[in-house]
Amino acid sequence: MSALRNSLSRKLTVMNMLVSGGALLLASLAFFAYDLITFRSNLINSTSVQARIIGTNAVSTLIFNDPPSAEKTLSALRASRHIVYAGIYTPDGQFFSGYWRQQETFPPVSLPALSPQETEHYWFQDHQFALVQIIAFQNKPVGFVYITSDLEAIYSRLRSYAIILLVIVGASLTAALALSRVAQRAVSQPILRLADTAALVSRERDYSVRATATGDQDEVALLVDAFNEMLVEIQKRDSALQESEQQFRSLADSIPQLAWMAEATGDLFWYNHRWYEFTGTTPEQMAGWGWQAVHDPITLPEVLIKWRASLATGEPFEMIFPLRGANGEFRDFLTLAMPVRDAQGQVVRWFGTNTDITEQRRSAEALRQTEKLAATGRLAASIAHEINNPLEAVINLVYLARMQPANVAKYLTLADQELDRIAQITKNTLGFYRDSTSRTDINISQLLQEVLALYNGKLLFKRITVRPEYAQGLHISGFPGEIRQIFANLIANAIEALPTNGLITIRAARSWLPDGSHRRAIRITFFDNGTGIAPEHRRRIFEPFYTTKKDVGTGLGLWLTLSLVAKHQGVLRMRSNIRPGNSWTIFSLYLPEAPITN
Amino acid sequence: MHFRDLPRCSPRSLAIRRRSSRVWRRAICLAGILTACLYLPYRLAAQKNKPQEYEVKATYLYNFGRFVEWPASGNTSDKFAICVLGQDPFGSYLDAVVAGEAINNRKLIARRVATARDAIPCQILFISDSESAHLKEILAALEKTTVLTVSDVPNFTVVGGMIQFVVVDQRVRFSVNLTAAGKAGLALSSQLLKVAVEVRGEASKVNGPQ
Repeated sequence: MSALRNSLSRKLTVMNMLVSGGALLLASLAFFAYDLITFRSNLINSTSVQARIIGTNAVSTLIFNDPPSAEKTLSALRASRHIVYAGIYTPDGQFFSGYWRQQETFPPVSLPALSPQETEHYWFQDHQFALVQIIAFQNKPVGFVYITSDLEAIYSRLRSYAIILLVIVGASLTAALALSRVAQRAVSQPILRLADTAALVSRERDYSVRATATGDQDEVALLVDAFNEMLVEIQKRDSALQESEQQFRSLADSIPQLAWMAEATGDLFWYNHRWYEFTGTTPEQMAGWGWQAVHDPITLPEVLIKWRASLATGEPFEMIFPLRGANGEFRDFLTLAMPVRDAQGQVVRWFGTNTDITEQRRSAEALRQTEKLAATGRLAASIAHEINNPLEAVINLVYLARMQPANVAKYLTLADQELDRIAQITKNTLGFYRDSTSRTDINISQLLQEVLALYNGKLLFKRITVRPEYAQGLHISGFPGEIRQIFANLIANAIEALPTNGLITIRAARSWLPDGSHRRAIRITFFDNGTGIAPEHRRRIFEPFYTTKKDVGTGLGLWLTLSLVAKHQGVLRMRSNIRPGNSWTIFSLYLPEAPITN
Repeated sequence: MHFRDLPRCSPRSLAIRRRSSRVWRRAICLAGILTACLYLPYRLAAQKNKPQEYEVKATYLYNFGRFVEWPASGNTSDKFAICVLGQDPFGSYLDAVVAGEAINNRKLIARRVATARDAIPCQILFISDSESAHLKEILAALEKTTVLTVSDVPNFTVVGGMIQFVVVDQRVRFSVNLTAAGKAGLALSSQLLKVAVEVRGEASKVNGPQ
């Protein structure tokens, strides 16, 4: 808190210091720069004047060739302590007389060339200033004077400026510091009070406190008002949130499902009452990843793999697995978990439910058995029907043989043929009941023909044309009885959908599973040009107890077919068209050539 | 005699004045040596008739005119005459010095006079050694005139002459008699007095030309 207070005050102070110090520095530098420029031109001027005086006084010494007298003139320069060297030269540049500040420290400097128009020339070089001037007498040049001055005058001026600058800036900044201490109080004090209140709110989580108004009508007052309004709003939202939270808890505890929430990291931090009720655990046991304790050790590894995958990708989690109840009994739960995302799309938590599907599963199994029985009944009727015809023929042939002893052999041969048919039918029928428990190699085209043979009577009766188009050597590994039932159901459906003179086309060819797994599969399509399936029915035909054939069907045929297909890891799809005159239905069945075993 | 004020051309000074690259310096040095080889015989020949004391003295005569102010009431001729009385020691030097020169817009001329009376229109009169015997008469004749009297004769300033040439350390110098000059109404510049070896008497109400 005090650090914060210091920072605001310090910022204001530093700002003041910077502004006043900067302005002062700039002004002083400008002033000193101006002074130095003036001083420099003064140096040039005064040296020029000195040169002129020396020159004027040296005229006669040059004309009458009296260097000692010239030296005397030059020695007057001793008063100017910055002049290092002065020399008088004859018009042709020969040294005539000289003056050295320190006696003869260097030989006479030779004269630089002057352009004819110039009467004076000066330059700065090597920390020295040099000036050459023509000595003229009655408009005639009689020689040159050459003066070299050190720049100590300028340097010492610079030094004193630096000291003055330091003193001025130092003193001014001290004064500015003291003044800003007083001035900033008016600005910073109300803000610091507001900051105190804000700190109190965030420390105590007490949103009922209010910042006190400053009394002024400035931005700080606005800030205080806005801050207080914000606190009011926070309190409102707080209570609304609590209410909403309460509603959520009641809802979560009233639903029949087990429900829970997890952090984005996967740590579960909340369960509804029903969870604790069912599992008989405590919140302490369940915290974090403690839920593993109520899982079946056999399924747990897969659960963990899938849960971690969902956490990593943000994909919804869906799985059926058993959970142990308080009584030690495992029950199956369908578990769904959805990610909750923030405005940026980042997963912030997960919300999950476990629905007990044990009863559902049991009833589904019962249904499956019922349908199997019903299918058997239908099959029995169909077999009886199939057998009945050749049987009648046999009876008739036996009767004819008895009546016409001469033709006994012929009738018996015919009866034999009919009996062969019966034998064939019974042999095919047996396939349904030999419910093999192990996979065997199945020849698809052969099996299709066997199933079709069962429906020969019906097909003949309705004058339905069957057009089989099979590729060579199609085999899969599976349970023949179940595949046979799938085929039988799909063919029976087609027959039932067809009027007289209809057409069934059955194609079988090599393909791939259409689920993107790129597994080799065999595709069998059952096409009929029947009335088609209305769009409103298409979605529901795979549901149990859904039937359009009120009198004949149980509504379980396609549902069972689909479950058998799923058991073989296959895919079943349907397309249909109900446009009159061009209506049709196609069931596409994909069966993998070999199943994935785990 | 060797005179430092006489024009000289030395290769060394040339080399120093031109501060250029080493190559240049070397080239100039070589040129200097060549020049010296060609110039030396001429210079040796010139040396014999060169150290001319009277060439310097002729120049000085002209220069005295630049540092002395004559009274406005005096000679109003547009000529400025430098005269020689007695045997002329200058030869052609004096004529060379005055040629084309002027003082205060008055054209300089050199004249030889036979008597002091003839010298009255002159501004400057050089009295030759040959007249040393008649010095008193000559000076007496020129009293009340505005002629600046100059001579080589020893004790010239003592006897009333104005400027006397003396040779000190092989240099031509001069001494001045201010009283004599003052009597003639001539104002000698302080610049001139500064370089004089000796100044006799005192200036009476003399305003220097500068």
